[in-house]
Amino acid sequence: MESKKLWLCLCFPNLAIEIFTRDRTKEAVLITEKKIVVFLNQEARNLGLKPGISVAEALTINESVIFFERNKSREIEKLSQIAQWSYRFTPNVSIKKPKSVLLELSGSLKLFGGLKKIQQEILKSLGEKGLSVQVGVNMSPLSAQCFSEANAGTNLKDIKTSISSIPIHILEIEQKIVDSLHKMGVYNCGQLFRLPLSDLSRRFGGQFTLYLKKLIGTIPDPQIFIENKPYFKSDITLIPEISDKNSLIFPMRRLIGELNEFLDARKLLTDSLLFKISHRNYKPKTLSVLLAKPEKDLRIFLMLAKLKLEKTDLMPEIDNICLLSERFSKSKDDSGDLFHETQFRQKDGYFPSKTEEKWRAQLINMMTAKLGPDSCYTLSTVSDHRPELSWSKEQPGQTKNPIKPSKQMDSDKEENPRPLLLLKAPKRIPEKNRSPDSLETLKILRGPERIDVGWWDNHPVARDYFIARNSSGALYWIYYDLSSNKWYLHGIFS
Amino acid sequence: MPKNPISFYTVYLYSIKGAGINKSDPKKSLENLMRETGLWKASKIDNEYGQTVSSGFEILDKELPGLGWPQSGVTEVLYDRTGIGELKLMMPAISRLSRSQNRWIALINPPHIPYAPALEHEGVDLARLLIITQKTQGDYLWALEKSISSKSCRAVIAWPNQIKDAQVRRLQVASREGNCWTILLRSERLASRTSPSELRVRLRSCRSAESTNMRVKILKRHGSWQSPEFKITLLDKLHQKRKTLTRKKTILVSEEANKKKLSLTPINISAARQSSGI
Repeated sequence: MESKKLWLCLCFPNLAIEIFTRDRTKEAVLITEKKIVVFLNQEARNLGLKPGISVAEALTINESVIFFERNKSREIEKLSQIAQWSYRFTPNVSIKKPKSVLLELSGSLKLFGGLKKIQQEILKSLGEKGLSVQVGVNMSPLSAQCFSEANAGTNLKDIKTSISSIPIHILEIEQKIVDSLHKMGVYNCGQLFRLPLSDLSRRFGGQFTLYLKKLIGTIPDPQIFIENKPYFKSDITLIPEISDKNSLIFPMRRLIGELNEFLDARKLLTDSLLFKISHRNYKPKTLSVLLAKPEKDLRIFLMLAKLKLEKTDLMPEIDNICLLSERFSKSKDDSGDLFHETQFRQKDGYFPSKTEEKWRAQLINMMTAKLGPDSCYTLSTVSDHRPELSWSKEQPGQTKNPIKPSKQMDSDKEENPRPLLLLKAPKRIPEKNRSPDSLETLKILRGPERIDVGWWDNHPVARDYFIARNSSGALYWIYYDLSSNKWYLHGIFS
Repeated sequence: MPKNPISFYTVYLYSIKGAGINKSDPKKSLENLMRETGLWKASKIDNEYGQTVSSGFEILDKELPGLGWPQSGVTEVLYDRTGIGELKLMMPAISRLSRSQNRWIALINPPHIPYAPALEHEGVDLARLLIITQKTQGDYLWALEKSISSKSCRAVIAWPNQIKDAQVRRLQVASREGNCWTILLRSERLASRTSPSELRVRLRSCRSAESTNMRVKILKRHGSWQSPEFKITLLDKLHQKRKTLTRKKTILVSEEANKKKLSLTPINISAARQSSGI
């Protein structure tokens, strides 16, 4: 039987406005539909405006008001964001269009320390997100929804008696039925349920009594629960528009905070954030923050976002900032740090390897955020005889299995040492000029070492390599090019 | 100095783990002990030595405070020209640090490509060697300071061209904070000027073209005066093997050339240069 379930419904009466005004604003904001005002905030009410008036009328009353065309799809998106967020309290979350989210909490009470605690937490977090919410708790989905819409609080006993004082226009029934019930002198649910259900069914149809039965929980009312999709999107509309880059940091911080909560609730990590910064008159700009290693640390995200922001040119005005993240990986352990990030050295004087790994990734993150993705690399050797092709750049942190050089190779290297620095492009050595690096002043210490390979691909090399010292004592790696008959400097024994 | 330095210690050698105790040579093991644990002699009580890492050259170790390269702070290496072995001198210590610790060895804007096969041959763990490049001087200093203070780098090597004393002082503070050994490779011309870095080493090539020695002088160090100039031999095998090796090689090359029936001119040129010693 359904009676053991406990339903909590979150109703957002001002959702249509609050999707635009997440930052609490002192401005009067109106939401219009076909030039008619449908929603307005308290500031607008204080100016004497009412729903139902036209845009022109509103402007004659006060011309400083701000209009937004109603955006239903964004309202639904917001609801689904809230639903995703509520996933932390229970897996059974369902979206009730147009403005409610329903949670089944019977399984979560013990974990969160009771209904009151959950309610407090929900109210606090939603308040921080700038959303006004009415909470209703009851024993069936529909009654919880009625309770939240009437802002009637909590009921944990019999449904029928609890809803007796709820006015019938709150119920999700056709306006026609409400009107005829009003004519019959029925104004609240208490009066409604005093009438026999069979008579109501005959008069208003089976659908209506079915709804009533679901309302009081005599027949089950199965819900469609949301799926937990790992996808994060949240945005902030900025009223008034901002033109200064630095004032973007505050909304950024809030978005990153939300992402952090999202990741925490799902034990996920992410390695890419995408900020979309836009203004209705300009082409939107995207700012992508890529990390070397998946993370969930708020401070790292914020630091990297700041660095990235410094490097980006933005449009002169900004009215919306949106944070997207869709690449996630599972967090391996979530035990947290007992000592709040205080780092202790181990017995041998070193830090734990995990901490060092984190630091290493953090350095890469910082450098790539400010200097660009190609600014950091590690090296690896490539098995090729051509000196310029026997090394390659590697993404830092992606360690290849080191190929152990054979002993044969080692002794070869002993005989033919390689320089520590290689010139990006070989430099011609002048033959006659009396400068310290001309051929006449170089004294050959060892060589030649013939390297004649690559005729089979596009990079043939036919050279005799020598180690030479110049008159001031610098040791060079030079070669004689067999195809052009010229001398080149290729490396420095630094 | 006392004749027998061992009498000054009441350290039970066998009670300290992992300090490279060598039973047959107690003096050597004491040196290892001092290097790796930060112990110091009572005669040098004024000095604050941290842990050090052996430079790989005995003669240099003896002159360095704490018997090795420091593990933090700024070390200035002043050298007269590229190619005298200024990097090679650091390599034994760098390769040891790259293998023993889980932190980066960062090269900031190297003037040429650090050549991976040579580094590998020196024993450097390439996966730990990070190269950071940037375009502007502002970014350069930023990257330098951030990597030093990030605690993620064991050592940072940089070739700063224009860096002010105040900036070096900042790096000095950052390297203490980040526990990072900062090596600045700078021009020898700066040797006569003062600098806030705590260790300054001057390297000069031996002008004679025959030797691969390097003249080393420590200009500034904690707890002591300048050192006398001393010689370090790098690439010592280059000369020993030279005669036998080159001859064998030349023959080999010309034989090969004959076999392949290549044009003989380039070989002749190189062989001629070889024998005339140009």
